[in-house]
Amino acid sequence: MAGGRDLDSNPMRQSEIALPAWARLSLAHAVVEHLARDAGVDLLHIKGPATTARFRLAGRTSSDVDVLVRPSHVARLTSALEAADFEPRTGFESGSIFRHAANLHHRYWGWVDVHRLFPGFGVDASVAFEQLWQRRGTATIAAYDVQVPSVLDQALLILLHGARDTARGRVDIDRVRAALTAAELDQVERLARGLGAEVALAATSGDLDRFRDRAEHDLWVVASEGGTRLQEWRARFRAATTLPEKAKLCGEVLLVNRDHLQMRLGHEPSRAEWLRATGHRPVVALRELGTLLARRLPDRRRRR
Amino acid sequence: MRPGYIVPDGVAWVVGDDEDSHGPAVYLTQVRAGVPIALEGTAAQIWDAARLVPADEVAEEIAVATGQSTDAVRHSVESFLAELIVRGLLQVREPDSGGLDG
Repeated sequence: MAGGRDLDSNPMRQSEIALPAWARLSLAHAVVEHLARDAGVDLLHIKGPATTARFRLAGRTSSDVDVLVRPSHVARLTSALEAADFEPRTGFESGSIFRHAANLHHRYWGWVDVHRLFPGFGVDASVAFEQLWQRRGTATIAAYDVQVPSVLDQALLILLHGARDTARGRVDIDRVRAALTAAELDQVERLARGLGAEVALAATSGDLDRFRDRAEHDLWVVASEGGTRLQEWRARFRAATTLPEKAKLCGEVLLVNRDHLQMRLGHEPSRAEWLRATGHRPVVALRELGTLLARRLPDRRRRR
Repeated sequence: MRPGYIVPDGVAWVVGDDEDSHGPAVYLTQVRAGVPIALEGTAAQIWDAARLVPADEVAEEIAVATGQSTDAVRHSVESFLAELIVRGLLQVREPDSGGLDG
């Protein structure tokens, strides 16, 4: 029997196998859900296969498992993941300008992005999570039940994510807006207000100017339209509303982030490499400042 | 209810779509063990048939799928089903446990 020969010689492959990316990702969601449940962690699966088909783009494949975790459970989750051989790669402080996610990697399951908050929410991360948690639903991924945000919360998350994704964001925003009825869109705006996400949501509809006075305004201008490192730091400085936050940012301006440097170099930076990169930082800042001034000066001359 | 098999709790699985070039495939893992497993070709067909039809019809399904007689495939099919049970990827359905698919 032809099939029997296959069956007898290699009935199942295990361990060091390369699964198709979509299969690996689906199974990885289930594994992460199991680890979270086992550790008593509340989390919501977001993006990729956790998204309702209504908002998914045919042919778009995610590359990692994204989860939003109850902030007070983050340490418990990362411990559970690490105990299951997920290796921490990027910490929360160095992941993005919003410092919202940490990345871990597993040799079989690939990347997991652990979100302790979702960029765009203005209310406290614990309050935001509780709101989403109260409205949550269930999705089945790889025949395994996982917790997901409600359909309209999913729409809001995609819109907010789209606002800071200068590459694919516009497509995602347009697709989700087209999939929602007018009444649903109103509801999404109401949800955004409850989560303090009006500024970020305005970035998806070109309405940011209405929020010019808000501290996070500049940050969303840079996130949605792009900007130089200098503009980014300026926006972050404005968005930092307390003195300790501003002081911490000043320190970060001067020192190169080790995680980022490691990703750029492809290996753990030596002390000499880190010092060299840190020493180079003022040069980059001056160059950007020079470019900025050069752009502004002709404007001023024209105005005269 | 006739004897059959179900997928145990704690097993996550996906069936390969038709676009896969290497024929039928099932990818699965016991979430507790966290190791990926791939069943391809006849192995995938047996696992899939086992969760969908009564136990005494699995060999017949595979015979049809492979174009052979039921007697010719029965031993291989039953051995493989036993291995799937040992590995925790299938379990015998208890008489009162409802539908075929767990």
